[in-house]
Amino acid sequence: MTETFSTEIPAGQPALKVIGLKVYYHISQGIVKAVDDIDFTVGCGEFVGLSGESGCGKTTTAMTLLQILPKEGVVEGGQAIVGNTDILTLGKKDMEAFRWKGISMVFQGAMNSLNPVHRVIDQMVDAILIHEDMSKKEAREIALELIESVGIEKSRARAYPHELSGGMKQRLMIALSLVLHPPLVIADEPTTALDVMIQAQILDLFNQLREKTSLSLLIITHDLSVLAETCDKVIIMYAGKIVEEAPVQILFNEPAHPYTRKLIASFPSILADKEIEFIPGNPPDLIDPPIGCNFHPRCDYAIDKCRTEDPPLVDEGGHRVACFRRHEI
Amino acid sequence: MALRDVLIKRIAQAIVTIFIVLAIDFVIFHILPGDPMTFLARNPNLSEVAQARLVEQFGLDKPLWQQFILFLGNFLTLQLGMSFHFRADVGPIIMEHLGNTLILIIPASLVAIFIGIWIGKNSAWRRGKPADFLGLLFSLITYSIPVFWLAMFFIMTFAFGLGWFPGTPGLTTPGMDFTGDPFGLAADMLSHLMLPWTVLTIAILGSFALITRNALLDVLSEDYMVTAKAKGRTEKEQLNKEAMPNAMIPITTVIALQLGFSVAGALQTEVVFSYPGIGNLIWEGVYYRDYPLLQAAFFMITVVVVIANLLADFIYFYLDPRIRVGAEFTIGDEKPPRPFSHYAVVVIAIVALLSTWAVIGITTVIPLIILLLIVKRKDIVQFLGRRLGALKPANLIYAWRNKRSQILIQFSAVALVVNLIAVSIIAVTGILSPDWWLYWGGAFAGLGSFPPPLLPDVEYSTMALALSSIAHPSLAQIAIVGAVIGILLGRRKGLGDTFGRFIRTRMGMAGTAIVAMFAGMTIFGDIVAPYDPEAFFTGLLYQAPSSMPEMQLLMVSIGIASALGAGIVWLILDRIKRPPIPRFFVTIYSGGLILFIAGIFGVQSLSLENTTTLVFSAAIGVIAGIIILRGLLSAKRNFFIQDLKSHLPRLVIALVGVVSIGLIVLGILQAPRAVPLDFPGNHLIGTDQLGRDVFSQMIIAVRITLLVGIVATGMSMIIGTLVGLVAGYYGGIIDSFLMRFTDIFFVIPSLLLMIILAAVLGPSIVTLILVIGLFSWSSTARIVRGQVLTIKERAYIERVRAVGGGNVYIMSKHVLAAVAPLVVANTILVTAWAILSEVVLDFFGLGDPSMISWGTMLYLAFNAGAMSNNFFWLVFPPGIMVVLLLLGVSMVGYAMDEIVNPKLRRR
Ligand SMILES: Nc1ncnc2c1ncn2[C@@H]1O[C@H](COP(=O)(O)OP(=O)(O)O)[C@@H](O)[C@H]1O
Ligand SMILES: [Mg+2]
Repeated sequence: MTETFSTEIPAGQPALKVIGLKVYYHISQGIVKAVDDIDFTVGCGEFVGLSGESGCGKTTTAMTLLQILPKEGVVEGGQAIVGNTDILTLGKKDMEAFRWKGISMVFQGAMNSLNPVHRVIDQMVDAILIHEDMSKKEAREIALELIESVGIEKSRARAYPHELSGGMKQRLMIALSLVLHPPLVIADEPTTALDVMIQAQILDLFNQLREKTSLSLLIITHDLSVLAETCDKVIIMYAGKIVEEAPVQILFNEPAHPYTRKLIASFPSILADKEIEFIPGNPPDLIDPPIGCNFHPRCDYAIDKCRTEDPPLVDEGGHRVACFRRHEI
Repeated sequence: MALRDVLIKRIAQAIVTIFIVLAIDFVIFHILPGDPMTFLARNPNLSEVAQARLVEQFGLDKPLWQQFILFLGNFLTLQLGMSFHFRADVGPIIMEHLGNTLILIIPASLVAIFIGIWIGKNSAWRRGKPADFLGLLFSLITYSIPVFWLAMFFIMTFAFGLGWFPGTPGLTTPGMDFTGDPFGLAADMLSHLMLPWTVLTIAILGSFALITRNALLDVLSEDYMVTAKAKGRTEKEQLNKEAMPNAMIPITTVIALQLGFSVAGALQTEVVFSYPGIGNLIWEGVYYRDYPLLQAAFFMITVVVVIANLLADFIYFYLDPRIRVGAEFTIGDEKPPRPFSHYAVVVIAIVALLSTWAVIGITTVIPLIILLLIVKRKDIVQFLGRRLGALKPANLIYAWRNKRSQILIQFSAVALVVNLIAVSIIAVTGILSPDWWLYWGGAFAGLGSFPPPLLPDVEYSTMALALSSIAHPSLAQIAIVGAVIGILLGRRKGLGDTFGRFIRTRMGMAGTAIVAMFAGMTIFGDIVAPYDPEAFFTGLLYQAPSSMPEMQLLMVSIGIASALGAGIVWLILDRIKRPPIPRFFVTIYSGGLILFIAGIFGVQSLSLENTTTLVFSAAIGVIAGIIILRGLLSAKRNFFIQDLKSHLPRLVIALVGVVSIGLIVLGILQAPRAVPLDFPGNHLIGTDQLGRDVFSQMIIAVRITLLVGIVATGMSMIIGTLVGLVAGYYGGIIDSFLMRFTDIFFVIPSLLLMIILAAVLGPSIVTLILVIGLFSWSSTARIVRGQVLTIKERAYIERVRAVGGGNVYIMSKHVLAAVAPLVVANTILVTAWAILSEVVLDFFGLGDPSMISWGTMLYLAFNAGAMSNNFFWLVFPPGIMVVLLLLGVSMVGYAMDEIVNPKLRRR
């Protein structure tokens, strides 16, 4: 097969560069602007966190990159550049070849992401054989090695998913995402459905991966502690738009957008004995979003300008914020 | 649970099923009036010796329980008794015929399963695309065709018409000697088998396709399918390697459960082809009322089906690793069952009695209800108090200001309760007579005459008359209509939304149009039918169809041609992407079309001086007027003249379409009367063996069919919902008991049971309704239970319980409300099934011979040799009507299911 793209990332280039991406769901009630003009990059070897309330378009962003949106979801514009190709323009055959090899994904809801009628090892071997020209035996070796490296005994490899606990399934899902050594892995809420102990194991696994491999990771979560523990850079989304992006230290120490501040304040902390704040109001209706800044109906600092104009995402030394009053508040 | 345990459980279950089947078998034939001894003695076919032997073998002179034990012993050792008609042991007769039936059914089923799965797979994978629509349409059509009719159609076309296949009945050509010529024999058999095989395959393939489509749609919405796609699998692999292995698990179970359906299809095929199988045997058994034969045939067929099911279970276990490889971990533990309750016990008792003891059961239920009333009297008083408390003036004033629909619902509910109490008092005290409730029940359902005949030997006291006027069926009907209107008004927005989405699906629109046509036929039948359908000698006997009067023929053909043309142009216009036509235009146009048709009917009613239909057409006209008005009102707000230009071509086409449909309706309406009706008259579709007008019969017959279908469905819905609700809600033992019970009803070929029970009870419309209603509820029970299981875990149910909501309150207020949409969709599908059953029972000669129905028409035609004499006008029209009606109903059901079924909503 002649491929019109390469999954090798040229030196010095980011692993993924998203420009002006717009994804709308066309449903009978109207058009849901789930992702509305977002730009970001994931550098090589970088761990980037993507966060925000549920329903703000995180999963949609991830699904767009692999072109696995449900049929109502339409990419209305923008580019997603991997290497030198805009992967959103790839044809069906090329896209099939690109998936998992270029970007792989750990899905939200670990419980049901593995096919219940196939053995775990077979599912991994299949993934390899779809893309690589090698014997079944070699593929098995690779898969077994990975299974061991995520901390599961080789003897369990022949198990069916129902024989495994939730944490084991999630770790195997991560192993599955790594079988082809893709330059970028997307992990959508990898810890949400798990209990605290297993969450810690999974995060530990990610940190090991960061040390041992050159992997780039886009980790989607609304759990801020996950961001703080694993990420280099954090992107905060609100109602389909990016409202703030900053290196993790800066984001937690000097959040600039009112929404980010609320988000951090609303997160319970065991260490600091602080009051939990709630963000009043509901996220906006994405079919008919408010005019001006999407956040203004819930914002304590909103001024008239916020109600009429959409604030641009301004970059100041790697700290991007979409707020007119970032320096005033 | 380990595999072995599961297998043992299944085998035990199969044994229980066979036991229950035997019990049913025993009971059915003891419902017969008179004791078996005199019955035997009256049968002239049996010799004294044979009778004595039977009496001894089945202990007919012993008490009932001893008879039962003897019966069990005899049947389990395959001593099946003596046929009245053949005057021989039933066992060997049955065995021989059973073999032939298997020759028919096994190849046909295998091919049908294969093709059906293929169609269903393609439909599900291309969901919503034209391929899906085609696949679904094809499946629904084949599902809607009564098998016996398809067989008649095939014989008339391919055997008698085209002469491709031998027209002789049976498995081989009679009179030919094939000794020493095995190949000739095989060829002869094959040529005789080809048509029955084909018919049976087509007849059952649709249901397999539908099963596959449903199962696969479920699987396609699972998370692992996203994983599969993300892994880079091609579409074909996603379907074949990831989805199908999962979908095959439910498909095998459901296909196994559908085996009873295939058996019913085979029986009908055999009858029409005079194929020497069990079906033919049963046909003869019904004809000669040969009860031992029927009893044994039912037993043997059920045993075969149960065994086949058991085999399917093994395949199922093999396919599903979750059972094949026992789990080490169980994630989340089972919830403890709800505490036992009186209601649950009563429901179980009712269902058990209703099903096993059929008619006898119903009378036994009443004491149970009384018992319940006594046990729960405090709750009931409280319940009534709460209900009546809602009617305090302050509440009423508030409701009048804010929720007028609520008042309507409340009053209707009170009226209904009072009415029902009066009915029960009458029924329980037997003030009138034991038969009374049957008559009133019949009148309530719209059957028989109203008011019901006063029974001659009963005195009517003032008390009885007062009570019976409160219990008047019309009162109940008005109350129900009131409640329905209130509910509709109260939830207008949500319903409007659902209805809007429903009607915008192609399938919903087509189905609604077809059903509307039949509704029109029911209402306006009297002015459409040119003759009294029951009048003899309106023409010659077996008069062939007259040709259509020229004028009307022209109208209809122009109408059809221009409608087709308009449709094609419309499709072409649709290809060019244009903004969709605004909703209000569609509304105004449909209103216009309805008004137009109502006008045509109004004029016809005037000319025939039929006031009833005049009133109906006026009412429909008013409704159409309201629709148009609403369209116009919403038009004002969002319509711009410049829009008109871009829509103009399509609007013109739509106008052409409306006018063409009008022309067709007008032509068909006028045609029968355009020529003088005096003898031999103008018979559009000819006459039957008694010179009755087939066209008029065909039009009027829809009433009986719909009536039986709807009433029986109502009955089965109530039983099914009740069983599902109780099983799902209480869980534990009650659940497993009720579900095993439901499974048994799934496995037993219900159509066969209906045929036998109807044969025993004697042909009447009440029998039809009873048997169809009693044996059609199992799918409803399953669906409701499944839904209840998911709903009862939701947090809000726990909260209601926490604030003191009782079980019955929660079930009726919260759980039932949540399962209602699915029940509605399922109801429609069950209606289709009930209508189909009615037609088949009619065809077996079990319908009320004095009432005109499509099935009875076909029965008479079949017996009059319509096939060999090529009286196609007696065979084709009623069959086409059945298929169309069923197609319309099931399309509505499917379109509805697509919208309300949460499993289908995702993706
Ligand atoms: N298939 C769909 N059809 C219509 N709307 C959808 C669909 N999937 C997601 N949405 C809507 O898009 C928005 C973003 O969803 P999602 O990307 O899943 O958010 P997140 O992952 O951040 O919770 C939500 O408002 C959601 O309701
Ligand atoms: Mg999400």
